[in-house]
Amino acid sequence: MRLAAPIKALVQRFAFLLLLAAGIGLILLGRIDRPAVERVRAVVVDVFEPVLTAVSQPVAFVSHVVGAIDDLIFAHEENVRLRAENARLLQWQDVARRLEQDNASLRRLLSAGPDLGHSFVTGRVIADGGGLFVRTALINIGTRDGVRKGQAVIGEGGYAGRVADLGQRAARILLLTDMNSRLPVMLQEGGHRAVLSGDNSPQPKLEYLPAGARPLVGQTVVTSGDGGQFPAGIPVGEIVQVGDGGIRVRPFVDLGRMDFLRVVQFEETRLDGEEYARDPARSPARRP
Amino acid sequence: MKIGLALAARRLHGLLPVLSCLMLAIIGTAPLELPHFGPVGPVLALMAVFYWSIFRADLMTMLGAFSIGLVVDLLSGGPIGLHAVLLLLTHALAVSQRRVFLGSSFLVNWWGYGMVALGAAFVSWSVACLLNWYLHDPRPLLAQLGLSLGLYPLVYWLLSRLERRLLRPALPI
Repeated sequence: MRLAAPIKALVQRFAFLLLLAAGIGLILLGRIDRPAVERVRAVVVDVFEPVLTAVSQPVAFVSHVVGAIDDLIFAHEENVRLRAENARLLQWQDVARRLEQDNASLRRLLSAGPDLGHSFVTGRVIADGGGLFVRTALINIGTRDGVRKGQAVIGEGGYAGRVADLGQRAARILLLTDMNSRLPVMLQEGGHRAVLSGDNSPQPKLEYLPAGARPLVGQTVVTSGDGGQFPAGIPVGEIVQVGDGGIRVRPFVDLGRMDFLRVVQFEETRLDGEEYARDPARSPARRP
Repeated sequence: MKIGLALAARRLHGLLPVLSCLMLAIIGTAPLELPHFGPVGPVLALMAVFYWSIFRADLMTMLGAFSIGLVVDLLSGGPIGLHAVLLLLTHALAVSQRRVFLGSSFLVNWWGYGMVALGAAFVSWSVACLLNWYLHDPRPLLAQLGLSLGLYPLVYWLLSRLERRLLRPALPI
């Protein structure tokens, strides 16, 4: 159909305004009705999951090559640092062995039950971020692999984030540096509870620490398990700054280089005692 | 039969701009991290929409740009609708100025892209600040802008090769 030029221009302009209004409406809708948007997002991500997985592998390769070149350039510095760290870790290893024995014997003494077991599912990171104002990652496991919303996600070194959105074949992880992340944590020494709040910077802020606590640079922060969603004691990060700018924690996980992430299947284990059912030898009833 | 096949092939070729944008959008979401840079991903889809809106406005429509933006939004964790609006505006701007760009050199095109990318960065920063009611650090945005400007010639070259290889010349305007 041929339209007269002025009419065509008018229709074009009208369509443009309509689409613009639709876009702005969507931005507002996303703000108001998050669950609906999340559902749509989950479906779309599920559909695109195979493509994303396929594309992420060559890109990961390029990323690795760039990383390797970077490693080469800084190899000497890194080497010196690692030597020092290795010496320190060997001492810690001795300490850990001793403590493990102590712990086991004390547990026997108290006849406390074994630690609740938890299992993991592992997924590959297939997409990251989503702009500069969100810190998320997409992994290629979802509900069909047993992932549930809110479960803790562990990377190499410690806590990385929690499951925020969920599809059948993919899950979006809200990283601990995201400005919407609030993680119940405690200081490993002293056990003072606090909240680790992300603010999109690489080093999240430690907040609501009780007045009696004395945070020091170098201290380790672990999950406290408050809120019941996570197991307690997952290493999170190390305090790097105490002062006017607040207390800052550097995550142990290198959030820039994540290939695989593990989702901790904790909630289920705790709720219906699945672990005990599978392994009757560890059941509390059989305990001597 | 032969005519049908040729028609189908032509249709498929007509989808090339939109498909190439989608592909770039997907590559853009892949977890590529540069050391010392942090999470700075260039918006590759924006480059492609800018390119096609200038050189093949007949094959890159308003609705196409909007839909590509929507896919970018859905695949990423960012506010939904943001890239849809950004790409729509980019398309409108590029189409309105395409006569200027069609007759001029690559450098002018690059400069034009830089202006559009700067505008897009400012809009997305403002929207993010308004939605979260929080003053975001604009520095990663500037890094992203620099990276995008640096990558644009590469994307331009790839798309122009693609256009020459696979698409018939556009009808004269």
